[in-house]
Amino acid sequence: MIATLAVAVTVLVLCFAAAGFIVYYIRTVSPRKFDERRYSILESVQDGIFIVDDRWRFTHINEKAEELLHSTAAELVGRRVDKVLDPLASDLLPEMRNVRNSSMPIERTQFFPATNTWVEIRVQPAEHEVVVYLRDVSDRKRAEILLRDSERRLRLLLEQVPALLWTVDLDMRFTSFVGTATSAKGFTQEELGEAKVDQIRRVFSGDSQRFESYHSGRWMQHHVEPLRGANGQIIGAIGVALDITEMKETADHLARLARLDALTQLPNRFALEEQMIEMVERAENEERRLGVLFVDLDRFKTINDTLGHRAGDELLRQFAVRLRRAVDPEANVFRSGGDEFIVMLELGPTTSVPMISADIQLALAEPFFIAERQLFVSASVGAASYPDDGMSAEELLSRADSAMYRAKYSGRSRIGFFDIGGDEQAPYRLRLEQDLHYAIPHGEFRLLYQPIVDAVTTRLVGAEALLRWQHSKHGEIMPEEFIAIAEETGLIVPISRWVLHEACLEAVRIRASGYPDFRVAVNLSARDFGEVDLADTIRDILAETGLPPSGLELEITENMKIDDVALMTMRSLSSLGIRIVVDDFGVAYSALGYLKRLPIAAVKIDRTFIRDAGDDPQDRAIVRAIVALARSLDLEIIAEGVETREQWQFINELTCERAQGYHFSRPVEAGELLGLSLRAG
Amino acid sequence: MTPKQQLNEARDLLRTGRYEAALARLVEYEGWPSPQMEQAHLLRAEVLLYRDPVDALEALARSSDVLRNDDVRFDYFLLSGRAYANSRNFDGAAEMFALAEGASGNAPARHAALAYQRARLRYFQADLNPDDPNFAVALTSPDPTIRLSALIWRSWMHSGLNNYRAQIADLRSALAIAREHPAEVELFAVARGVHALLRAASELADHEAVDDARDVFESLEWSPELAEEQFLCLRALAWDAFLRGDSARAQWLYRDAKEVAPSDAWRVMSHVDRGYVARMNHNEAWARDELMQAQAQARSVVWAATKGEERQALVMLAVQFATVDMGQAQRYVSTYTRMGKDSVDPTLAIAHDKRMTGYTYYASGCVNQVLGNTESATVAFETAYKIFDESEYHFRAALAAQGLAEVTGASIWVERARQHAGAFPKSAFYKYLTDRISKKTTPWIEGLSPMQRQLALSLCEGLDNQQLSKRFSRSEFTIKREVQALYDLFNVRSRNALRSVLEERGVL
Repeated sequence: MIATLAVAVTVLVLCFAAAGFIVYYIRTVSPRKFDERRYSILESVQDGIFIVDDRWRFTHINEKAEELLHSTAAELVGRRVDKVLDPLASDLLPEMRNVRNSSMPIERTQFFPATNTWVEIRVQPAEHEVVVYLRDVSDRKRAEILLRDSERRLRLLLEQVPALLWTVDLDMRFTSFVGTATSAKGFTQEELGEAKVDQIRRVFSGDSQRFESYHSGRWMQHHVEPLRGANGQIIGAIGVALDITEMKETADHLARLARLDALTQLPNRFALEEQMIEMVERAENEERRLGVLFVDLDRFKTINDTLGHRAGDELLRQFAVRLRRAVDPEANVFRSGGDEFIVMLELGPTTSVPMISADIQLALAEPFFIAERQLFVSASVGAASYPDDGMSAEELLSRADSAMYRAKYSGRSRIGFFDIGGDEQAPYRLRLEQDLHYAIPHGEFRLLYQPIVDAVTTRLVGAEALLRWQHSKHGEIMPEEFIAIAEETGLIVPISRWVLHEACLEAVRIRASGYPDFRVAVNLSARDFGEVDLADTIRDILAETGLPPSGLELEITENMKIDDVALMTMRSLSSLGIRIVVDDFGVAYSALGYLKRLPIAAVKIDRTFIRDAGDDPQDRAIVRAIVALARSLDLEIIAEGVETREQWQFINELTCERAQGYHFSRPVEAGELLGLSLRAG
Repeated sequence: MTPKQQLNEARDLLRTGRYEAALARLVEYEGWPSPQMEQAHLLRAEVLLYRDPVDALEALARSSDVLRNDDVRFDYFLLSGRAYANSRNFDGAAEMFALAEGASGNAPARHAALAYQRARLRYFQADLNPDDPNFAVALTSPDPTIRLSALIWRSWMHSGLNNYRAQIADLRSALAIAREHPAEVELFAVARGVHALLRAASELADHEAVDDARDVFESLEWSPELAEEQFLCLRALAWDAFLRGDSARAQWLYRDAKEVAPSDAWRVMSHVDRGYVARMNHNEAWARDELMQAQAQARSVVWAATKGEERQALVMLAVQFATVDMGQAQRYVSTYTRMGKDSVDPTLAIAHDKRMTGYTYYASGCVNQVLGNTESATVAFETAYKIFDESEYHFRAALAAQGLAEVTGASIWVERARQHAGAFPKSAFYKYLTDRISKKTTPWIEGLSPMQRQLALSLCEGLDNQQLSKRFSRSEFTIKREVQALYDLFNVRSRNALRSVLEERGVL
């Protein structure tokens, strides 16, 4: 730009030199000679020139001036200037007058907006004549305006944008340093110099450099180019530094957001892939083992569908929290989508896949409280380990995934291992848990029936269904051993369903064989009542088996937590005509209010009271109190564990309605009930 | 400097329109002896009156102590009356003048001064009566400024009653007084007289009167604080030069006027003036330049804050834009009409000048003409014509008649236009007008609507559809359709063909 201006100035000087030359001629050369010469000079000059005589008449006008005046020499010569109405003719007359009077030239530039042109006007006296030079300086003016404009914009940019502009010489001394970033952001010359001297030096060999620097809390992005002298040799470096701290922070924030699952605040699938590759690499380098566990909530869809998405989301949130707590703090927990979670960790002596699986299942043992309901949730887990099951992140994930699906297929709420060394390595409890899944399909469950009799007549009025598991390896396993596992894993639900179905079938059979009032009693756990569809399930089973509702009793324990779901389920069951009995009554010293709240038809006095009642007067007193309490609530009373005649007499004193126990019969197989010859009183 | 000297200096500065300097002399006079102290109070209020009557009223209210001096009571009441009148509280003014009368002590000079103020108040109240006896009393004043001013206000009453010859006579008498007492009269009053005379006389082609006024104008030493008066005089002189056929001189004077113009609105006016003269001289490029500068300048004007005559720049702009950019012209007109007539200060000389209304009607006529609203254009032009004709405002009457000739095609308007224009046979506009009328009334154009005529001419100028759309404030689609209709009418298929047809017929 400086060069352009210099050229412009040179041309201008030349122009006025020419003008001076013409004036010189006009002054010195004799008129005749002058005419000839000046014509040629006039035409050779690039500017518009016209000459006005002492009576303000046009005497000469060159081609360019004709153009600027939109007229021709033929039209103009001889006419008075004030008769040619134009900004470059008539309007100049006052100036021409002044020039002639003062003999001082006048110069000014005029803008013509309609044509967007600038004309530089110079009015110069020459004896009696006046010479007017007109020069179209639009290009220069426009360039000037552009320059001014771009300078203003640059200044604006430097003022508004947190940027630095600097130059250094070859000795790394700053030769200029401007920009708002210096003051506003506390970024100083020294810091830039110290931090990145080497990178700037590299520019001296001719390459441009881009790099970022971090200093006292600010991120700067630098672009450095070699600074060249007039001959093209490198004389230093010129750099622009942009404060990108906010940009960085925003980008980081976005990156974090992109890698975080909004619902559970766990890292999501993107983060998983990144981190997994990283972990596999590290494991490879450090020869460590990795475990990958795929955790999938069972029946999540059902929960979502029946309780709504909000409840589903809440469950995922709570589950995420539990899962995170359940596993080693070093482990990475991700939500990979839907109800799928992935746990990834380094395996070591204290961390093995089965242990983690057990921890996860344990975390699910307690019910979730969602939408004021109690939910028991189980999860299927698939596991794979590095390097045994796969060498790449991808492989490990897909193996763990398929293991999880296998686990799911073989019955929910269990763990599947990918190609893991064998059942022997898994603990007994875990194996039991695994086997529990197969118990129903393999027909390993059976029911025994503990007859219930009329306490007075000892006539058979019902039976309590008792579950037994005939394990293929371990033989018969008692409910105490596996019910807890079934409850923890949620397997209790299908098991209870099976029991209900079997028991109802048996009851129908017996009722049809001369015991029309026969009732079968089935024990249900709190977990069963947490199932929102329990009432529907039972209704379906009754319909399926043909047992009227009055033929079924459901036994719950006194210490069972009764939440709103359970209560509602009980009420709807009771309204169906199904009787609900509190088992083991008296043990937990139930509050009266608790019992009143529930739609209970009967209580079963715990066997311990009956057992001890024969000897201990205090126990007798307690039993009497319990019975009085039950009576006041208008409840039927059943005595269990009646083993002796004395005990039977005692319960008769208490006027219990029904009784069960070895005194009448031990538990029998289905089909044996009818053949019992019950001992009469 | 003694208080007396200071007072005299301040009075002289007030007389020559140097109000700032006068105020600077009138500080710290509280300790002055009576009656100089009281006089200083009043003089200060009087100086303030030239800038803002409310400031003057405030100053008077604060210095009511001076009323204890019987000698200045008359001056106090008279000045208060003037301040009330200037701030449009006419009842308050009348009351003050009554008090002044009571305090006049039957001095003839005071009676004359009071009579002048009362006559002036009549004008403010739109009670135009040049035979008001107050004028006769005022003219007996020993103060030449009062005599001169009385004549000026009487002249405005004449002009308000369309009696322009009487107006000129009064103004010439007023300027005669100014010439007689150059060192005594107030510059402000003289300037107003000069301006009024230049305007009235130039429109009536009363060259003798104009030359009178110009002589006085050239003898005056202008104060920057009277820039507006100077501007108006220069503008009036320029207009006179144009009407007399010296367009170059008109342009120089307009340029000089622009240099002293005290406001952006007046600068807009200067560009419009110069553009107009250029156009009348067929220098369309120059006209465009000025118009563009006017447009650019107009953007910085707060029109609502302008006074009556300044505001006319909008109307002038609209008229000039009518053939260039209809949308812009319409915007100027609507801006003008939105501000309403009520906002024109009744204390201004133009308050009762019907010609101002005439301009607006003329502008509205121009806009409607180009838009093709023949009926509205005719009504507007007719109203304008009536006003200008009655005002013996020949130039404008000729323009209005020309507009009517174009819109109605009636030959009577052509004749009338020529008659009015004939008052200024040397002016560029006379030729321009006769050229235009002869073109517009050639037979080919009779079958076309005004819009079509304009469109045809614009097409021949080489405007493309987009430019035409802007000029006529119609969508490009409409323009396309209209252009096609024109082509069909002349059985041509291009602009060039249309051009040669029109040239053949001698339209272009």
